[in-house]
Amino acid sequence: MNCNDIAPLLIAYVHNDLSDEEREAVESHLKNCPECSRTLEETIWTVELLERKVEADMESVEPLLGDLEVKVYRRLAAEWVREARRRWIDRLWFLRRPWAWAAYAAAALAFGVYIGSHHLAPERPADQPALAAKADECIRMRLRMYADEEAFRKLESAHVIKYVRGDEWKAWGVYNQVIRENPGTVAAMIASEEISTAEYKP
Amino acid sequence: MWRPQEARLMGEKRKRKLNIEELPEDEELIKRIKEGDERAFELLMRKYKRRVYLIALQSTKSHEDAEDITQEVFIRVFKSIPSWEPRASFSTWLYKVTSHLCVDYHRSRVRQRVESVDDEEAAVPEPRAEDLASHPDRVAEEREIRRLIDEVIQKNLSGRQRDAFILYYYGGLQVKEVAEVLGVAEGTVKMHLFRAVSKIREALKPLKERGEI
Repeated sequence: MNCNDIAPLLIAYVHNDLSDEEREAVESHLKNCPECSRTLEETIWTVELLERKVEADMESVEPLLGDLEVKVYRRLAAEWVREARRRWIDRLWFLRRPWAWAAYAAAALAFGVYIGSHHLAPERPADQPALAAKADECIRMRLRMYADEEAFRKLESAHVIKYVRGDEWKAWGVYNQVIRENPGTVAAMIASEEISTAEYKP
Repeated sequence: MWRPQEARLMGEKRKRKLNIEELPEDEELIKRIKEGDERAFELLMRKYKRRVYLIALQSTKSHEDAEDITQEVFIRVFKSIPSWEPRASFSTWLYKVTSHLCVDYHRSRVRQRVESVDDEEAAVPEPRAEDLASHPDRVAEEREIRRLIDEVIQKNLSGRQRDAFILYYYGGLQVKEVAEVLGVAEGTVKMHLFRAVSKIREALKPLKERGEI
């Protein structure tokens, strides 16, 4: 090894931080090289000063860091609180998905429709006087046709559809069907002016 | 003439300085922390806080930021220790974390476009007043040496030389460990250290020639 190879090893050599092989090479070179020996001596006193400076710096900063442990624990505690909150919010992950909101809305709508159509009987539609009048006429017609068991059953069915399930249009279809199937009764009712001819043409 | 055994003595002395308070070994402390012993974590902080702080201080040049980074380092260490496996020495890993946080700090500073960073100097506190009273001449001399060394570290060393120097002297790492932290070859670290110490030596030479050292 020449001087250029030895120089970079001197710091590690001074600190006993070389492999055995490197250390032997340095020591062998130093025995025969006054120039590198002088560099080594200068390096040693520099390193001693550096060690003293590091030691002095370490002592100087001690008072500044006296409560560092407490500060670290405080920050850790604050982070634990934040993480606990975050975990709690994470449990509600399904609320943060847009598609989930759409699914929930659709499910709620379907449920509402189901409840509305099966369990809540709508009130008689007072704002639809024509339909209300027709319903009354159908009841009267039913009384006239009480002897006709089939017609009676159908009208009863239409009555249930209208008042219990709230399906006006379906009920109206059944009424018309009854009228079509009982032209004689309807004609008699028209003759006695119990129902209007304009609306009930068989 | 240099005597070979002196190198070995200095090496031993350096190892002792790393563990001034004779605290337990890292492996033992980590084992205790994993078992839930919070006192062991306190000891670990006490053992390394000054070194981590001084490394951060050399990088940030601000006490508040260096302290903040030091706290963050230990918080990350605390969180990571349960899953930490000793593939390298604990101190190597600790300084890697410190090094990464210092890099993040500089990136955030660049983002904030804070100016005049390079004009500031690392503000290592001065010796305590009682030291100054008992040995005024020595303390003044030490102060001048420290100031000169700080100046060289901040102004004359390249980034890599400074990193290697700080990790070696303030971190107390071996050459191999510094190479691992910086991700370079051991030979590169030795060269950085030699150049850094040479620059410091040149800066101190006038004081030595005047007999002030």
